[in-house]
Amino acid sequence: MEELWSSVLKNFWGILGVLVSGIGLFIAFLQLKKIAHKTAAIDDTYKKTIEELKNNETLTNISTALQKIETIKSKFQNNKIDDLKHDLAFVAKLLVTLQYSLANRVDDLNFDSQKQLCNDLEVKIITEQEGLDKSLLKDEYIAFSNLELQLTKIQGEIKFNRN
Amino acid sequence: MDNSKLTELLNKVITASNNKKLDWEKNTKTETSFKALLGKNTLHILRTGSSTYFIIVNEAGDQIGSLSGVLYASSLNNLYEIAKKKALRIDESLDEINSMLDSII
Repeated sequence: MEELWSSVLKNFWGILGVLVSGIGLFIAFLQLKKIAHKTAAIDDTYKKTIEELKNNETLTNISTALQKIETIKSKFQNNKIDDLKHDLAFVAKLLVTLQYSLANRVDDLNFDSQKQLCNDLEVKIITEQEGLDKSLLKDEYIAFSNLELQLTKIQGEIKFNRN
Repeated sequence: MDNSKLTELLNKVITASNNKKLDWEKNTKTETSFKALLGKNTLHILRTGSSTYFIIVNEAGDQIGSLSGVLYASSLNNLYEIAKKKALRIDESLDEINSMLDSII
């Protein structure tokens, strides 16, 4: 027993050093863990914010497209086909943007035919082709109504997943 | 009308336009569209978005032929620039500006 005590006393500073280093390492480990947790939380918030901004942008684009489609349909009904060309060009452009932003969200999404419909109608109006009245444009009216339904459905899904 | 016939026609239209045998004018519907009367038919060259179209419309207002797309992009862009130059009388305006500048320098 005496030998043990004398040995402890002889190595007192060494043992104290080991203990202090151990505590120091433990505190450093805790601090690192805390920082890692904070970083993960910031990263998560950042990802959520970006996702939310993307959602808002997509929802705004869909809402603008829906308003334009409403205008197009109303001009169809009032036989103001000649006034349509700017709305058609606008919708065609928005469809390109939407197809890109919705590519990872909606499977097999393709607005090519609707975009083509807008372009064809715009060309017909500019080149003053015959047959541009509401009685002959029934198929086009139906196509815009279907596009309206499709966009409304996508809009609903985005809003539902967000909540 | 098949596309080979239309392509041949497009090339002839480019040649005729270059030789000042076709009178291109601005389309009042949009500033990026030009038309030329050829007999009873009207030739149109227009841009919407990033696409250029060559369209032939007959006297009844029916579209009897059209060309667009990357395959014809070079010829279509060429014709568009020629038609724009003729319709807006760009060369004449530039010559006039040039001679006016010459007289004041």
